[in-house]
Amino acid sequence: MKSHDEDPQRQLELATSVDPIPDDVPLDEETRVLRASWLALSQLLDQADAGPSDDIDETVVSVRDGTKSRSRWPLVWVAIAASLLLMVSSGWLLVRFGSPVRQSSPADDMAESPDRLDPFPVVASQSKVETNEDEEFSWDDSWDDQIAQVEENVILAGQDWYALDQPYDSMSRQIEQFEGELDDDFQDASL
Amino acid sequence: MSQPNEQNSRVSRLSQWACDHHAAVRGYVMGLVGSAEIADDLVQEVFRRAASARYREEGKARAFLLRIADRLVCDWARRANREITVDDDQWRQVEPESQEPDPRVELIQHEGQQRLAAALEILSDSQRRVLLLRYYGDMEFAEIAQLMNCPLNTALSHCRRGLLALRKILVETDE
Repeated sequence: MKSHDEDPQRQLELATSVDPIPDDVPLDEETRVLRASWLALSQLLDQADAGPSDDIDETVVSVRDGTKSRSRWPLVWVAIAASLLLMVSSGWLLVRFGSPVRQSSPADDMAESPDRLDPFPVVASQSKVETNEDEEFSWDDSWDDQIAQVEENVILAGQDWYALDQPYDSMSRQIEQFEGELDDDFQDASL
Repeated sequence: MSQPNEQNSRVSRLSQWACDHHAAVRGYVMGLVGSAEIADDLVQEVFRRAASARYREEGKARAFLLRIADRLVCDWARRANREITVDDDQWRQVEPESQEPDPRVELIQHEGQQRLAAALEILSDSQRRVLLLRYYGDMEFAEIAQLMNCPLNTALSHCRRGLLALRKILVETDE
């Protein structure tokens, strides 16, 4: 004698049976309803699963590679190179078209110490800044040579970013020095 | 010496499982996630885990695979933090994996596709899981309840309510 708890289970097992239910097995009205729903769902799922391939492609069960870990270093280098180029260009523009005139010679300060690697040595020359009361912001000729040298360095540096890390650094420092000294001169002139 | 033999047996068993149960596992996962792309990834993960897991239940491979699939689907749903539903657009995104047309693609071309999608959509997540496990895994309700980590009566209730809900769409529509 089946317990009450087994009746719902038995009912659903009959209703959702994969095999056809023999005719001699009695089904109550609710079981018939459940069975009809189950058969309708099974039919739709059968249609969806119809025609499974016998030849399972190995790639179907093979482990897919995860998201390929692409090396991002080329992008990093490009970003660094672009930022350096931007910085150098900005410094060059500032030096080329900036306003202040120097009062003192920057040559000695710009010269790199001998122990530092600098494939693009800046020509250090002693020169006097000609001050002209009428032209407050006139340039010294020696400055033009040095700026031209920096320009050339920038162009050469732009040809191969990877190989010119250190020169780039040195150029950046030089330009920073230029900027600092120009700022100092401008302040002195304004005073 | 024993390790290569064991590995070979695992590989051959996995190949046999893929041939015998891949469609059922994929159908089950597809019915729950509703996206072919996600289903394919999950199915591959199912077989990958099955290959490395220790299988001791001889003769119940499909139930074993569906247990793995169910766990993966639940994890996926938890990560996605959304209800597992099927809508028409997701069904239409099915892409065939092999040269032979995907059964789902044929389904899409037929009117039954919309009916199946609508039918699965009205079911709750638990109801859908119970019915699909019963269909694809031919599992006993006690097994289903154990897999879903719920009491047996709860699993039976899900099944019953799901079938009654489907009646309105699948049976009464035909009538």
